[in-house]
Amino acid sequence: MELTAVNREIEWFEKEFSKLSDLYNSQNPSIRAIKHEAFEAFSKLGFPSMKHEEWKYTHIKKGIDFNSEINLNNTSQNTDYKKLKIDYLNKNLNNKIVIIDGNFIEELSTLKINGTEIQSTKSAFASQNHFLTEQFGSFTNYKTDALAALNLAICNDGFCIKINKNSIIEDTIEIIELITNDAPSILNPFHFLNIEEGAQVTFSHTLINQNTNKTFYNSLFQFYQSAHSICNFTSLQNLNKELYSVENKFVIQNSKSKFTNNQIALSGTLIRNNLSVRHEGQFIETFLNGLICLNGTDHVDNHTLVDHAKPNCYSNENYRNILDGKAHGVFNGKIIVRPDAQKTNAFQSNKNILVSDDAVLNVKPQLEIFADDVKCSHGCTSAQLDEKQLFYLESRGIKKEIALLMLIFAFADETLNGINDLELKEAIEQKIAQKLGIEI
Amino acid sequence: MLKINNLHVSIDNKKILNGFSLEVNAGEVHAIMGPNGTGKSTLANILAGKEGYEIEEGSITFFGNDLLEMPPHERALAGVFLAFQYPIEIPGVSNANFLKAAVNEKRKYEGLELMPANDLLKMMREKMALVEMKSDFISRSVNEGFSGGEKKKNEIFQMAMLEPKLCIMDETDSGLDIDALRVVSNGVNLLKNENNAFVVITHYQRLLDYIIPDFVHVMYGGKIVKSGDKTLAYELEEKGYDWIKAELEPAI
Ligand SMILES: Nc1ncnc2c1ncn2[C@@H]1O[C@H](COP(=O)(O)OP(=O)(O)OP(=O)(O)O)[C@@H](O)[C@H]1O
Ligand SMILES: [Mg+2]
Repeated sequence: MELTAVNREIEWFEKEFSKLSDLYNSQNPSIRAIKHEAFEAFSKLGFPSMKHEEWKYTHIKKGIDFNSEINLNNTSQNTDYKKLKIDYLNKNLNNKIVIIDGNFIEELSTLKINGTEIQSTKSAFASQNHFLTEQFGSFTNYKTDALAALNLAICNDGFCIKINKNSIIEDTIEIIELITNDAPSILNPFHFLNIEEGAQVTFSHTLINQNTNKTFYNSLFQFYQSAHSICNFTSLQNLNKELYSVENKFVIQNSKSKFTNNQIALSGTLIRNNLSVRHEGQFIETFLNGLICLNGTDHVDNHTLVDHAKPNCYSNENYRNILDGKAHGVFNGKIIVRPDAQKTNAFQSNKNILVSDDAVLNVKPQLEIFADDVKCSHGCTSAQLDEKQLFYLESRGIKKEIALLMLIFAFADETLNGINDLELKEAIEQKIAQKLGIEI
Repeated sequence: MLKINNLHVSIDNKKILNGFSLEVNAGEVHAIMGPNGTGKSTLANILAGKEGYEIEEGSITFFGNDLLEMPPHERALAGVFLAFQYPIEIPGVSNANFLKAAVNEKRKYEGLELMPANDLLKMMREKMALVEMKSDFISRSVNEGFSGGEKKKNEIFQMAMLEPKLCIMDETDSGLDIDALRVVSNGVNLLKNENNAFVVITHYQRLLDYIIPDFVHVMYGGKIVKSGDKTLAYELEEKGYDWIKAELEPAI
C-alpha cells in the first residue's frame, strides 16, 4: 500500500516535471544537466515519509496537495507589487531583495548595492556564463536528499547575489520571501549567495505568508564563502497557517572565513530547516544559533550538520526551544569530524524550556568523530526557570506570570548575541516580546 | 504600619522564628542585630513573601492588611521592599527593563499613567547618582557580574526608584567599603521621611553612625530578646552577645 502511494507521488511528479521541458530549453546546458540529474534522483527518492530516520517527526507530505499542478508560470504577473503590504523588519533599510511567490521582484528589490551583483535566478539560469553556473547544486547532496533534489529539479527563480572581493557591505541586506494567496501550491525558489574573498556582509531574511490555501514552500539557499570572508545571516520565520515550509541551506566555507546563522522561528504549522555547513579550508569559524519559540500546535524541526573536513576549525552551535501549548520542537544536530580534521573545536549546546505539559520536544545530538586530536562537546538540558530569580522579580512588584515571561525572554535573548546588526537584533527582540505578550 | 505578632516559623520541622514580635511605625528606623543564624534573613524573607516557610503561629499586618495572605508582588506594590543580603543575578534581563516593569507595575497599581521612556531614563540616572553608580549599569543585566558592593548599591538604587513605605535592609553594609558605606547611607537618609520606615539588619554598629536608629533590637533564638536605643548598638559592639546570652540563661 505504501509503495503504491509512493508510486503515485512520483508519477505525479514526473507528469508535472515533463511539462517543464519548454522552460528548460532556454536554460544554460550545464544547469539543465544538473536539473536532469536532480530529477532522476528525486524520482528514485520520492518524498520522505516518517519512516525515514531523518524525517521521523516531521510529516512533510501533509503539506503537499498531490491533486494540484506545479505551476511555474508567474501567476501573479499582473499583481501590482507596490500595493502589497510587506512587513519589513527594518523599514529604514535601503538594501532589499524581495521574493514573492518564489519569484524575484525587480520592482521592489535594490538592484544596485555597491560591491555586489544581484540578479534573479531565472536570468542566471539563462545566462551562458554566470557566477552560479559552475556552482549550481554542487554541494547540496541532492543524490540522497530528496528535498534538495526536488528543488534543484524544478526551481526556476529566486535570487543570486555576489559580494565582490574585499567589499564590505555596511548596511544589512534584507531578504523578504513572501507567499501570497495567488501562489501555486508548490514553490521551489533557489537562491545563491556567493561571498568572494575578503568580503563581509550581513543579511536578514524573513519568511512571511498571506496565503489561505495550502502551500508547500521548499526553498534552497546555496552559500559559497571564499577565504577570509564574513557572512552573518539571520532568518526569521513567523508564519500563518497553511504554509508548509522546508528551508534547505547549504554552506561551503573556505579558509579563515566566518559564517554565522541565526535561525529564529516564532510560529508555523510545519517548518523544517536543514542547515549543512562544510569546511573546505583551515581556520574557519562557524556559529549556528537557533531560537524556537512556539505555542498552539506549531511544529518546527531543525536539522543541522557541521562537517569538519579540514584541521584547525571551530564551530559553535547553540539552539534553544521554548515550547508552550501543544507545540512540537525537533532538534537534530550532527557534527562530523573527518580523519583529516585534527585540532577541531566543535561545541554544541541545546537548552529547552517546556512551558506546558503538552509540549513535545525531540532532541538528537549526533557526534561522529574520526580524528583524535579534537575538542568536541555537546550538552542538552531542559532548563528550569530559577525560583530565586522569579522571587527577586516578584519582590519588586512584578506579577509571577509576567516575571516568568521576563525570564523566558531572557533565556531566548541569549541566543541572539550572534546577530551583529543591533537594530535587527532589537527588531527581533520586539517580535519575541510581542509573541510572549510582554513589553521590553 | 507593620505589626508582627508572636510569629512562629519553621522550615522542614526546624524551628527558626520562635515568638517574634515587632511593631514599626511611619518615620521610624529600627535596627535588628543578632548572631549568625538567629533568623534575621528568614524574617526579612517572610516579610517579602518568599515561599517554603511554615508559619505555625502568629500574624503580620501591614497597614491593617494581612500580609501573609498577599502574594509577593502585591506586598511590593503595597510598599514592602527588601534589599536582599544576597542579591540574585538575572542574566538577560537588563536593569533598565527590570525597573521599567517594576516602576510601571507600581504606577498601574496606583492608578497612574505608565511612565514615558525618557522620564524613566532620567529618573534612573538621578537615582543612580544618589548611590554613585555609573549609568552604564542601566543597560547591564540585573546584578550579573556586579561586584559585591555594586550589588548592594543596586538594591538601594531599586529602593530609590520604587519609593517603598517599608524598607528592609538585610546586611546592606556587609561587602561595602568605607566610602561606599557612606554613599549608600547618605542615599538612604535622603529617602527617609515621615511616611516611610526602615528595618535595618546589620552586624556592625558602624552603619548606625550614618543611619541613626530610633530602636535597636537584639534577636536571638528566633525572637527579640532585648530592645533599646542606639546606645545598645555600642554596647554590643564593645561586649559582643555573650552578656545577653548570660542574661537569658537564668530564664531558661
Ligand atoms: N531553606 C532552609 N532550609 C533549612 N534551613 C534554613 C533554610 N533557610 C534558613 N535556614 C536556617 O535557619 C537559620 C536562620 O537563618 P537566617 O538566614 O535567617 O539567619 P541570619 O540571622 O540571617 O544569619 P546571618 O547573620 O548569618 O545572615 C539558620 O540556621 C539557617 O541555616
Ligand atoms: Mg542573614
